[in-house]
Order: sequence, then C-alpha cells, then structure tokens
Amino acid sequence: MDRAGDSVGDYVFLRELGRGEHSQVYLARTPRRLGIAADTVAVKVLSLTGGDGFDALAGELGLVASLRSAQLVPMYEVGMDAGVVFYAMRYEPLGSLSAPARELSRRERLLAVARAARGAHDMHEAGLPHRGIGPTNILLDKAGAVLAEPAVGHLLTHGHTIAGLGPGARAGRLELVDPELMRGRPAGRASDIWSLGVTLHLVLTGHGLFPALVSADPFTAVRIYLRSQPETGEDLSEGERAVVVRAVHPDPARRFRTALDLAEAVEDVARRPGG
Amino acid sequence: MSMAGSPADDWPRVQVHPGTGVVDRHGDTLVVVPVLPASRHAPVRELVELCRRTDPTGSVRIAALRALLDLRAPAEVPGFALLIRTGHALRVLLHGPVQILLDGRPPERPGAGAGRRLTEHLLTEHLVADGAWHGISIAAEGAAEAAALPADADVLPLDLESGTVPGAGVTLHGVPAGRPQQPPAAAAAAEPAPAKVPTSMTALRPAMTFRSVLLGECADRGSAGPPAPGPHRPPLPVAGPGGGAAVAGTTEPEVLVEGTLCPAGHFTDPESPACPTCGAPLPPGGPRVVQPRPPLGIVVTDGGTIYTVTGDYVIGREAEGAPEVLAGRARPLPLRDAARSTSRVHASLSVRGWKVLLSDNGSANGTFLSRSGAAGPWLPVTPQFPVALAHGDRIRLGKRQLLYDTWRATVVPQVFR
Repeated sequence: MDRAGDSVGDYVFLRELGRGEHSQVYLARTPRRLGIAADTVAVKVLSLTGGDGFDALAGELGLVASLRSAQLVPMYEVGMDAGVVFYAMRYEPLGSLSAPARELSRRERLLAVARAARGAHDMHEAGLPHRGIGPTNILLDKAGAVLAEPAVGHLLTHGHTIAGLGPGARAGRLELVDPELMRGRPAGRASDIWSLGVTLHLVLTGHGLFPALVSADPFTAVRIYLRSQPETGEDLSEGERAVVVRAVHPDPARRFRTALDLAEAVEDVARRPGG
Repeated sequence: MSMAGSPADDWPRVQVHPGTGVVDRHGDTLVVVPVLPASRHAPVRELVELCRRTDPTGSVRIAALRALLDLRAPAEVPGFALLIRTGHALRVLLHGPVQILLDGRPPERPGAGAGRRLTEHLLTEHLVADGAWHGISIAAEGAAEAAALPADADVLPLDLESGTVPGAGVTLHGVPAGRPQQPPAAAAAAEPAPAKVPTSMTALRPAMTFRSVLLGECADRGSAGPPAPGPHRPPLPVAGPGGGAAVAGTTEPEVLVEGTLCPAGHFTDPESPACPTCGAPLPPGGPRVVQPRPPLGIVVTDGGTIYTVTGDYVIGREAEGAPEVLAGRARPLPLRDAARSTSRVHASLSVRGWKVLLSDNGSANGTFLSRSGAAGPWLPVTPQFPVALAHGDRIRLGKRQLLYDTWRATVVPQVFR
C-alpha cells in the first residue's frame, strides 16, 4: 500500500481529510463489497505499527460499532494491509467542531458537545472509555453531531503512552488530556468528562483553559500544564462556566458523575435564552 | 570433491544475506535477485519460473534468458544472478548491477581462480571450477564487500536447501574435501550430528498481508455473519466516594512497597521530607505501612510523548526488540532517531522501591544527565553505576532528550474548593 496517498486495501483515496498525531484520514471510494449506499467513506490510516495488537483493536472497535449509538459515528471495517492498520467509517461532509463546513451558532455548538457527551456515555455504559474526545473528534451531521471513534493507538503499542503533543508540538492539545491520567489513573468516565469540559470551553471561547500553555517546547509545556489549574475565559455565561468548572474539577470525584449528567446540563444551558 | 549422487548433493552451503530481495533454490539452480523494485514482481516471478526449467547443462535456460532480455527493456528486468551446478563447476550468469566475489575478490582479477568470462546480451557468464575458492558472495554491486554477515559462531548456520526466501544476496561456503555435504536422510546415517548443517526448506506461498473485520451494519450483511467483538464489559465505575475504589488504582499490576502516609492520607516515600502530592511535611520515623506503589513520575520525550513511570523501561531506537521487553520484564520507550545518534538499546529505567534508577546500556554515544533544570551541564551515566532520578532531571541520549517529572503539588484555586 502506498501511504503517500493512493490506497489502502481496496480503498482508493480521493483526498486527504486531515491528519493527527499518529494517523491520517482520507476520503475514499466505498468498496462495493461493504454493501453500503454511500459513495465515499472516511478511512483513518494509523502510522503506528504493531500488528500484534490488531485483534485487540478490532475487538474494541467491534464493541463500539455494536452499540449502534446514534451519537457515535458508524464504523464499517477495521483492517490491516501489509502491516498498516486502518479503519473505515461514515464520511461526515459537514466537518467537525474544530473545522465546521459553515459557521455554527452558540446553541448549535452547545448541542453538538451534548450529543458527543451522550455518545461517550453510551460507550461508558458498555465499559469503554473514549480517550480521544476533542473538537476534531466531534463530527457534525444532520442530526447535530456524532462522536468519532475512540483512540485505540495504545492497543498497538506496548508502551503506556498517555498522550503526546505530536510533531510540531501543539501544546494546546495537551489540555484535552486529564492530568490525572499522568498520575497513573486509568482512563474512564472522569477523564472523558474532563475532555468534554475542555472541548466545551474551546468551542465556546476559541481558546484554552490554560492561558500559560503557549510554549512549543514539550518539556516546558508539560511542566506548566502539571503546575497550573484551569482558568475559564471571561466570555462565558454563568451557566456555561458552571458546566465547564464542574467538568474539569481537579478532583475527579467532584466532576459530573456521568457524561449523561454533563450532556443534560449542557442541554439545559442551551435551552436558556442567553445561556 | 563430489560423491556420487544428484547435482544437488554436492552444492556448497547456501547462506542467505538478510534483505528484501529474492533468493530461490530449486534443483541444480540458485537465483538471486538482490533488489526487488516496486511493481517489478511479475518479471521476477517470470524469471524464477524460467530458471527452474529442466535441462541438464543449463544451455536451454541460458538461451531462454537471453531471449527474455532481448524481448524486454533492460531496465524492466531487475539485476539477478543465476547459478547452475554443472559437472565440477558452477556456471554463474549475471545481469544488471549484481556482483560476484570469489574469496572477496572479483573473478576477473589475476589469480582469483576464475574460469572463463563472456559478455553478450547483457548477460555475463563466469565458469567457476570447484576447489578454486572457499567462499563465493553474490550481492548487489557495492553490497558484496559491505555484507557484514554474522559469524557462524553467533548464529545458527543455516543452508537454504530448497525454496524461495527473502534475501539481499548469498554466500556459498565451499565443502571441505572429504566432507561432502549430503541431503539430510543420507547425512543422518553417514555423519554424527555436529557435522550436519541445518537446512531450510520453504515453499512459495502467498503471504497473508490483508486482514479485515467488518463492523456494524457491514458485519450484518457480510456472509460470515456478525463479527465476534470482545466479551461485553461491565459499565465503567463512577468516580467518587460512592463510585467504588477502582478509580483510585492504576492500570498497572500492583507492586507492594513499604511507605508512609502523609497527614492527608497520601501513600508516599518514607525517606521524603514532604509529601510530593500535597506538600505536607513528613515527620521522620513516622509509622510504616505496606501498600501498592503509586506511579513515581512521568518521562516526557522531546517529541512530546508522555510515559508514566510505574515499572521498568528500556530506552532506545529499537527498544521494542530488547530482551527485557520481549520477556515482558520492561516496557519499551522508543526514540526515533534518523541520525542514529541513539543506540538501538541505549539506556534503562529501573524502579526499585521508591527510586527510579537510570543506567546506560553500553550505548555508542553515552547517556548524560543534567540536574540544573536546563540542558546542561551534562554528567555521564555509566552502565556500572545507575543514578537515581530526581524531579526535573533532563536525560540526553545521543541527540534525543527526556525530562523526568514527579508532579509536585499545586495550589487549587478558590473556584474549585
């Protein structure tokens, strides 16, 4: 397979949709054998190697797909071609909360995060943490939004990588990772709720909760992050601020108990005129 | 030097060089394609099939090869070597940038012991008589001299007896006089076990390179029925006093250590003057308790990847292949380094009690530590004397750097109280 942009398996790439720390996403022509109506699908190709973890990864994504949650992006296939792991899912042409195809109202942004929180809750009830919630992973669709597939790269690598700033050291992405994960807590409801709170703040204010987190040097960024506490922006309504503060509380036990509780709180804020 | 039998009986030992080309041994022939260019798989398959044809002297195959080279553009047929065992000699035909060395020297040089040489139709032929050499190497031009093969003492000495395997070239080892190499069945009766060279027989089979698991609605339509996702799991625990204790643990297997509890109840190093979690002072000689050890810190790479230190790590360019990692005793901390300034297995982190020890693994460029909180001054770390890491230490391994951090306590602002 040619990772430079031609194909993987029998998926012929039409163009690149985006790239992450360990992956690239392509728009691809739908292989007929899948038996779905859509002409195109989104295919994520992982740059991580480690074929030993393929079965675990396929099992995890199989569990997510079997939930059939309306708030989770439908997944079609997970495969490995010459050692390269990829998976195919529904293409959402309306973009994501980080790059929407059209400008969204504040209410639409609130409701998109609430839908993602409901998707995360469906996964949590099935025993599955998401680990990758952020504005790029909340995909917009006709019903509002769906949450993209969970982060599964850790299943391919034997090391316990929590997160990375990635090449280019985008320090702002660090705050999507619950600092408690760096203290050794396992990923779970509380860490996904943290990510939802940071995401909500990002999409409402356009900036992060850690204003000091601007260094491009990973060492400096991590040290600042672990020694700072979140500070909400001025441009939030009281209701919005209350949701964010509760979602990113330093003590996981004092955050929302579940992502569904967070979703209902956000929906409640969206119903109020002026937030 | 041959005993009676088929030509295959008195072949020299065929040692395959590691690589991604193709080496094919079949009957009286050996084909070596040191470099397999992308999208040239079909000509190579055609070439191997052609060389496997049966004719006693090889003349028919050589004529067919010349016809093939006439038919195709020269660049379409990748460089190859065909060796045919005939009588008491080897016929060696070369095409393209492929080189033969007899005992390390090209055969045309005076005194190299080569037979004759003729060049036509882009095919060079050497006739190499038995007894005139000890070792023949075939590889891509420039690679034959550079082929650093492990000594037989270091690896199992294998002999490609038959089949197709990946390889960048071959070395033929001459059979000492009076010790003919024999097929396994004959050797079992003739010689004691130590004289026998293990052989490798392979078959050309399509490798499985594509795997697929259909998901969701596609799985329902698939003829194989729905996939078998992993077993259903219980819901994730809810954090908090009512949510059970599971959230307080880590993802690692528990290691019990002796420690002390700070006034706020944090389990910590009894030798520490203050609790690293909340900063409360720890009175010396406080009561000791045995509990699961919490993570001791994080290691951040200069590429921005973060690892929690809960157990031993091997650090290096190919840390995944370190024996401790393969045995499950340590986890890899891989550092990609195109300049190769970092060794494959460069250094190790070992967790002993409450200490994280750094040691060098005999790396080429050494391991260095900076205690200043900045990049230098650098103190060397040796394999013999592991150094206990402290909060804020920087580690240099070739051109890559790591930071060790123990998350000192921070003040929680009023909004969260």
